[in-house]
Amino acid sequence: MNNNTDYSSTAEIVIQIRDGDMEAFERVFREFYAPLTLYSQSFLQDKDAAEEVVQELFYNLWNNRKHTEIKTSLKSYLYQSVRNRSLKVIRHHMVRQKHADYVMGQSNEGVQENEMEARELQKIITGILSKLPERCSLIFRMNRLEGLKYREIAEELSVSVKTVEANMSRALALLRNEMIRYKEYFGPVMKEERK
Amino acid sequence: MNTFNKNKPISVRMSRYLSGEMDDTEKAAFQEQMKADADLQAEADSLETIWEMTGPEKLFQAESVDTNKAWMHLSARISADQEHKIVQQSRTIGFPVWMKWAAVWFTAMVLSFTAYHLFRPADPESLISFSNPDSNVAFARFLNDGSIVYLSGGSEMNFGSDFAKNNRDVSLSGEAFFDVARDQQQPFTINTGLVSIEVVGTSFYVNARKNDLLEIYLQTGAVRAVVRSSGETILLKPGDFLSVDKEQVQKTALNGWQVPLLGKPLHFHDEPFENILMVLSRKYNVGFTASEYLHERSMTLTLYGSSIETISEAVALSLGVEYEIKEDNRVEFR
Repeated sequence: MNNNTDYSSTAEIVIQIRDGDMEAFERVFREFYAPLTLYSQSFLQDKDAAEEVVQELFYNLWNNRKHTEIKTSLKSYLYQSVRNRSLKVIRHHMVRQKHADYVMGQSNEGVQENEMEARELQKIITGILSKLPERCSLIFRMNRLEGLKYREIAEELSVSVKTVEANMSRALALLRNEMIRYKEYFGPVMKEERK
Repeated sequence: MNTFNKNKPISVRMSRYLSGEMDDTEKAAFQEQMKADADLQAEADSLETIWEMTGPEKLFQAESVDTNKAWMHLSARISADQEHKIVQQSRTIGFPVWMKWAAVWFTAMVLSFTAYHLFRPADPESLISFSNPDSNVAFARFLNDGSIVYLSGGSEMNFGSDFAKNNRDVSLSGEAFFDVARDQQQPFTINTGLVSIEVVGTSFYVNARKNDLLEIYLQTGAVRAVVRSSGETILLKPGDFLSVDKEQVQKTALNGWQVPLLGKPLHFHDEPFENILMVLSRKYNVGFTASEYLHERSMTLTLYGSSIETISEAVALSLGVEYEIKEDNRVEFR
């Protein structure tokens, strides 16, 4: 099943899709659907909403395949679109409230023992990520989850590399501060901080 | 205490270090510095752990995304659009219905009864098409004449709107298994680029994925294949595997071959439940029946698994009804 399609040399597969090759389209879908959904979920904190974002992206990509211009690589195009679409959803406040409630709920309840489930941890971390200042969190995600270099982020957001650097460092520091609140989860990590 | 300020210098360096923004010299110097300063090292370690936790591998390790289900959903949506488009196109080919009847009425009024027959506009030629975009499933469709087609991924079948009325002609590009209902009066014809296949009542597999190769495997009944270029006619009997390319025609015995397509999960798209029951009965050789009120309901579903129980349960679940496997193995939904 695992065909090692070279997605870096995207030209061929992009042309195939443009020509209506459903199998090529399916290959791309199967390759990217899960990571893109998770990436969107890191913004939206809601799996259903994230799946919808990615479904819509692929649906539109297929319907507009003849007119869609992919300037960079297919991968960058997909990630960039998911990011923009996710931010748009957030701006529409469709899931923001739900997520805010969740994070609030977490801090009020305190952390329960014996819940070291990775899923919980993920919710908390993505929750914290979303509580960071908007640009800071966006830059952090672009670097960490999308794998973009400082320079690439700077170009895309039309800011300086210095700004990206400052925001990255700020994100890391804020993440650490936030995580102290969940020290039962992140105990060993926070040892130094607590002395 | 403002930990942000306190952490600033190390977090700047750590984020540069961790995201691979440091060049070799800078990296080496930073590593040296950490080695010399235990506090700095500990601080760096904790930031590194946070860094790892926020990476995609760690962050999403508990998440599972059902790509298969998502693809089914998307491809069903796309193929529904395509079917919709085809119906629209076919409507525009012929005269509008009212014009047709106005013409008929007018002709009948002005001319004699014979003239009416002479001038009656022919039915608009419209094409019905269905395709299966998903290579993981076999798309099953029950045709008007009682035949069943299992279409493989990336395949498409077309037939006219007068199928089963005036003819039983279809065209195929791709791969399919046909279970053709017997009708002596009207042979069932499959047109592919290389070969035209004519049958009366039979079940067989056709692979017309490539333009220059055609394969047929006959399971039951009899098939007559006519090579278009040469006019050569080949008769097949059960167990025969025929392969035709531009150079040669080859027939081999391949008794008991399991057609892989038939082992795939069965997918139905917007199919009346009554038809689904027919397909299941035929495929599993067991009677599937349902209460009358369920017959008209259209369903889109994919059936994974191969036992009668799993299939029945999945169907019952999607319909929200009960089922029972009777003593004679008959399955009843109600």
